[in-house]
Amino acid sequence: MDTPILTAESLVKKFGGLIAINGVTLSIKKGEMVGLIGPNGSGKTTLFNILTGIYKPDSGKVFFNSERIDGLQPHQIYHKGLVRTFQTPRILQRMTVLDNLLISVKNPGDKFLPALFKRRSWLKFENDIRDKALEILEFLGLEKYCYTPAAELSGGQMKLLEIARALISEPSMILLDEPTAGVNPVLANDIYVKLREIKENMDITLFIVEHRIELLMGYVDKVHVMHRGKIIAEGRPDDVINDEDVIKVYLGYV
Amino acid sequence: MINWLQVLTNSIIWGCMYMLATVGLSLSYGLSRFPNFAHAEYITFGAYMAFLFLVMLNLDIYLAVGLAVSLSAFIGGLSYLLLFKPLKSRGASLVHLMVSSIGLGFLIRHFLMQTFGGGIKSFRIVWPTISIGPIVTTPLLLAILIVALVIAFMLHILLTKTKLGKAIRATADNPELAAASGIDLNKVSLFTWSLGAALAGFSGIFLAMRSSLVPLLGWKVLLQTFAITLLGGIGSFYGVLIASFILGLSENVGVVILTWLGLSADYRSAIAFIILVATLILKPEGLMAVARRRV
Amino acid sequence: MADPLMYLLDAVAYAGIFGILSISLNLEYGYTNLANFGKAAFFMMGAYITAIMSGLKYPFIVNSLLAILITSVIGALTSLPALRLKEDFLAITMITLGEVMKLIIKNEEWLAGGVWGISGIASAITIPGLTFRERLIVQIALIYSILIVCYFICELIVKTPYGRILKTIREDEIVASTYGKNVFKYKIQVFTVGSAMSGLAGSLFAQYIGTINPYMFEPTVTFVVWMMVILGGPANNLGAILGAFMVEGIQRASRLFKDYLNLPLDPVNLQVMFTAILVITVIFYRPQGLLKEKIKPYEGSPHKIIAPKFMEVKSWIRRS
Repeated sequence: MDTPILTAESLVKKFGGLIAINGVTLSIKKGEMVGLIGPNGSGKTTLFNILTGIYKPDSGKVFFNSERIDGLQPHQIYHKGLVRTFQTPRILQRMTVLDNLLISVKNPGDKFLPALFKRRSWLKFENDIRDKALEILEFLGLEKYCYTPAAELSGGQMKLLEIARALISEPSMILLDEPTAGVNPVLANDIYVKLREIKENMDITLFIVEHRIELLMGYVDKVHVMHRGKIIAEGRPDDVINDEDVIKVYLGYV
Repeated sequence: MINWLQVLTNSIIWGCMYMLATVGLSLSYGLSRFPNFAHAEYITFGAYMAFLFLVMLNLDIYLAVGLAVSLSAFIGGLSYLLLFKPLKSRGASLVHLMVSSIGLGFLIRHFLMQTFGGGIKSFRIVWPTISIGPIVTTPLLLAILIVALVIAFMLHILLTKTKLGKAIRATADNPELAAASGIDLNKVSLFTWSLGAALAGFSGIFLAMRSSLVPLLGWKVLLQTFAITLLGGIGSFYGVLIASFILGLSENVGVVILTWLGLSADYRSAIAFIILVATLILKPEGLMAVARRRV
Repeated sequence: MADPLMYLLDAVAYAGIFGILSISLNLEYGYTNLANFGKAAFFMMGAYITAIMSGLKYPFIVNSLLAILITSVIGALTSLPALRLKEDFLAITMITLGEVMKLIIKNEEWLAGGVWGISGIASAITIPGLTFRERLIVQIALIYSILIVCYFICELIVKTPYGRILKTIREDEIVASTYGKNVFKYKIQVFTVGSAMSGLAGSLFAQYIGTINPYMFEPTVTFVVWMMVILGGPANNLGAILGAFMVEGIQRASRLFKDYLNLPLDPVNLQVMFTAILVITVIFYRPQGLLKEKIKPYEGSPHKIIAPKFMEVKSWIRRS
């Protein structure tokens, strides 16, 4: 139970003269729900981009299930079971909500020749996966919209769709980049209830960047605090809230 | 026996010509974030306007060139104001902007063909040859050299010393940040587009005077201008400066090699293509990356 | 034209050939957002391969297969450096590739007849004893059967999970790659298929008109194909074919103006200027084209779900 699923070792990433990530080391255990907080521009999203292979770190290592994943392409990291969502929802506008989900699954019809010549095999797969997709949509309250073009969803629904898209591939870990950004407080709370349920029932490790600190603290097992590209504190929510450094740089002005 | 000094001189002069032709393309690409394929036609336009004033209306050469360059600037500014600015504000995609720019290019070229006819024209100026040591040149080529150097120096002053120039560089570097710090993007873009088209028109006049005036004058250097833009780094004036001379040199040395290999000298434009593809493979951000490409 | 029917049939044949180019560009741009501004280059390659092979007395079927093979290989190779980068780099590479191709053909007279081109290209189907008009009808039958095959291949591609990934790449490349798709691989494949279709169109073109020269493959050809896709409706294959018909119709009409109205304008200039204005107008006021993309339930499944049938016990969600 205590085995780490994701480990980062002294990651560094520079953009020109700007040091976005300055020696981040962290370790997340299997089955945990972990928060990541920090002021704007402290490097949280950059860290996610490195963990999921969108950026390559200048130095440092990333291990996922004891396998080294830094330097891999994003699609390779996905196939290891690590997926993410985006801060501003990246919804596929001109596709239906259901299709938005289904692209996330590895399908026998994904390849060119099987898509054309092995129709039967992918049609069968498509049928099974659709039921699962509808279950997930229902779980998140989106089933009514399964055939709507995704561009017509509201902001909050788009955030839910992002989570649904991450869930359907049965990952072992999801990185959530501000799952409640721009969402009304009631729905924000609902989202965390769902996330907790996901963590409890589906055995998925969650790593969440969040601005709504009070909300986050009520649900997560552990929190990391980032400031100027470094992790300045980590621990149980209660401890972190009382940490002096954290109060100084971050909570001081709340 | 190859006169290498002559090859070097030719390279520098071609470098100057390419520099004038490309600066506008690179700067507008950096500011507005799309390649303007109509830029080649600003070159042609300038040359035809010079032909109109100089040969058809018999004006004084300085006046004619001045008018032609101003009209090119006008066309460049107009195409930004009437076409690309409204398209951008409507949220047109990159592909739509590129297609519109190709359309605009065809519109300008065929308008010129319709007005002036499609045939080959000449400025009917015979340039005497000047020999400086082993180098043979003409007053025109010297004029190109001097004009290009003066303009390059002025651009350097403009970009480093003036508020407008700093705004251009800041916008090319990061449009959102520049807009947030109070730079009027429209004014800066309009200025850059006009200036770029003016310089392109200037280079067109030189290109046409050096040989002849044809409707494909600008299109024929399209390959070179894009190779220079990518090699120099999109939006970088100094990149254009360096890349122009690299291309001028490789083309002129390339022609020597081509002749030695027994191939047609027409393949000199293929050299630009090779440079372009090599840049994309080895250093896609160019020698002097300015415009940052983000996710 | 002496015979108006012949003129019409000729226009129909051209529309068919350009229809193939148009749906190939639609696959690349409309579904995958690949800006291929080198259509004329691949069209020309297909035509020249057919012409050269025809000169060596090979039958059309061999020539066209070779054209497909070579254009697809060249397409894949030349697009490789640009495909990893943004779409403007691909556009620049392809538009300049067209110029280099033309340069080679103009200069290598031993290979492709230089600026004079190649004439006497054998027709694909030669039935002795037919009148000119009947031969034209046979040609149209050939061209349209190939167009229909290409149409069905494209429709088949876009209505599979594979096509869904292409649309994902079009909408957002980052999403496609974070959700496990090798975007680069898909782009190469689509580019290869698109180039092969353009080569086939070029092959048909060469055997249809019998004489080709480098001036037939100016960048205007590329622009006309773009016009067809943008006017007809990107990501709609029927729209792309409709666009081909409309643009060909507009072009023929502007040529007729000259014959019947004696306008003081050069028809080619008029044609190009009109097309340019039209494409800019369409981009301004109807960027989705005449026939919109249909965003509808995914059609791949044999039975559509009428009412979402959910299990009482959420087997998957409740598993622990």
